[in-house]
Amino acid sequence: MNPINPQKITLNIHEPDLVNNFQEVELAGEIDRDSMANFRDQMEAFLASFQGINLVLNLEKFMFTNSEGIGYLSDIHNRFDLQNKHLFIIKASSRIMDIFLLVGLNQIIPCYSTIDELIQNIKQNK
Amino acid sequence: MLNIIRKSLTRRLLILLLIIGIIAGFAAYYYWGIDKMFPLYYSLAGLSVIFLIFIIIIYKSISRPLKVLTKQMKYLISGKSYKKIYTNRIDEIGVIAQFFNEVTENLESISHKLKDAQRMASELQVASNIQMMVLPSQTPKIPGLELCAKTRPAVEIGGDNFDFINKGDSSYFYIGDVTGHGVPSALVMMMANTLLHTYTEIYDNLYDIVVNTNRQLKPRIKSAMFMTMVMLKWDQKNEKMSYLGAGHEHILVYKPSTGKIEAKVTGGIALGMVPDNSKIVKELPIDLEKGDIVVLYTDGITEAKNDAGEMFGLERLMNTITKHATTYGPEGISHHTATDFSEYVGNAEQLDDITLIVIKYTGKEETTVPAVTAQTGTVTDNMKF
Repeated sequence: MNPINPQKITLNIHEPDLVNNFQEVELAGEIDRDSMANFRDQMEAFLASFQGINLVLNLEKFMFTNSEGIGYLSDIHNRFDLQNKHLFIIKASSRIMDIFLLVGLNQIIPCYSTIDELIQNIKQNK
Repeated sequence: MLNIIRKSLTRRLLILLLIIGIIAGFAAYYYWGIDKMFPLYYSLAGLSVIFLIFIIIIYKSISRPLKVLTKQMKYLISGKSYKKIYTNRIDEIGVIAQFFNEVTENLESISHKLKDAQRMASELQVASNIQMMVLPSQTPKIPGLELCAKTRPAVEIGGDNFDFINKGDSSYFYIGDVTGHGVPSALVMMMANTLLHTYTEIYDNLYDIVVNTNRQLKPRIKSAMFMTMVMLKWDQKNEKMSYLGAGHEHILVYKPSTGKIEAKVTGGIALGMVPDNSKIVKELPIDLEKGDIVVLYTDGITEAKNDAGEMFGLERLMNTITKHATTYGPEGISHHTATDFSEYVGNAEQLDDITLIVIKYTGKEETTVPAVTAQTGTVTDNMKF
C-alpha cells in the first residue's frame, strides 16, 4: 500500500510578464489519484485570480500525469477557449511529451521546448 | 425480593429513607421526650405523612422521569420504536435525557447513511452486472484470428471498454479507456459503446465510425472527460488488418519471425477532447504475417505501481509478452502476463481498470477458436491481479 501524499504536486506562480503578455506557472511533482484534488484546488484558486490572456505551464520539473490530469488540462484549455484566452505548455520532459502525444493533448494545447519559442509564437499571433 | 430492590434506584432510595426515618423517628421520639407529649400512634401517623410526602416528591422528580428514560432506552436497545424525551430540566436527569436525544439522533443519521450505502451498493452491483452484460462474455469466432480478452475494473464498475463486432466479411474490435474510473467513467463507456456499435452498423470504415462517435460523444460529456481508444478492422477475405487510433496506448505487435516486439503509436486524439477529430484521425494498415501477435491494453497495466511505487511500465509489458509469445497462444500469453503482472504489483492497491486483449493471426485454415476465452465474469479471477 503506497502512502498517500497529496502534496506530490506544487505550483510556483510567477509574476505576470507584462512585456510579453503572459503569466507562468511552474508545476513540480506528479499528478495521480492522490494528488489530483490538491492540484485542482491550487489551480482553481489561481485561475480565479488570473486576469491575463496567456497562461504558460512550465513542466520542467513535472514527472507524471494520469489521464485525470490530462483531462483537467484539457478542461482548462476548453474554458480558456470560451474566454478567448490561451494555454501553453513549455519545457515538458520527453516522458511527459510521450504521454501528451499518445492522448493527443499536444494537438489542442501548444507545447514548446523553450520560453523564447513561446514568446516568439505569442508575438507572431498578436 | 432483593433483586426487585437492586433493579430500581428509586426503590433503593425509598428503603434507605424508610430505614433512616424509622431510626430517626424512634431516636427523636425518645431523645426529645416526644413520647411524653404525644401518644405513639400520633407520632407514627405524623412520620407516615412526612414519609408519604417524601415518596411523592421522589416519585415525581426522580422515579417517574427515570422510568420514562429507561423505558425509551430499553426500546432503543431492543430495536423497538422509541421517542425523543422532551424536558426543561437542567439537572442530571435533564442531561441524561439530552444525551439520549443526541445519541438517538446520531443513530438515526447513521442508520439512514447505512441504508443509503446499502442501497447504493446494491445499485452499483446492478450497474456492474449491466456493464458486464455490455462487455462481450465470449470472443466471437473470427476466421484467421485467435483472440483472448480479459478485464478487471478497479471498483465495481469501470471505464475500460472493449468489444468485438462481426459484420459481413469484416470484424471490428476496439479497446477504450475513459478518464478515471467508477460511475462517471462507466456512464461514458456505455455511451461510447452504444455509439460505436451504432456507427459500425452504418459505416464500413474505421474513419467514419470514429469521427461520428466523437461528434456525438463530445457534447454529451464533461469537458474534463475523454476516452482513449484504438479500433481494429479485420478483413476476413483478404486477411488484412487496419487500425485507427484515438489517443490510446500503443499497439504491440510481436513477430515470431524476428523475435521482436514493436510498440506502434496509435496516434489521433482521444474521443471527446475536440468537437471534430476528422482532420486528426487516420486509418492505417498493420502488416501481419501468420503467427504474429497483436496486443491491446489499457494504461491500468502500464501505470500500475508495486509496493515501492514503481510502475509496471511499457518496457516490462513488452518483455513479458515477448517472453511468453514464443511458447503460448493468446490465452497462455494473457494468463502468464497476468501472473507476471500480479507478482510485480504484489499487494499494491489496484487504482485503475485493467484490460488486455491478445490477438494471434493464425490464418483461416489454422484457426482454433477457444470455446470460452473472454468470459468476463471468470477471466478476472484467472488474471490473478
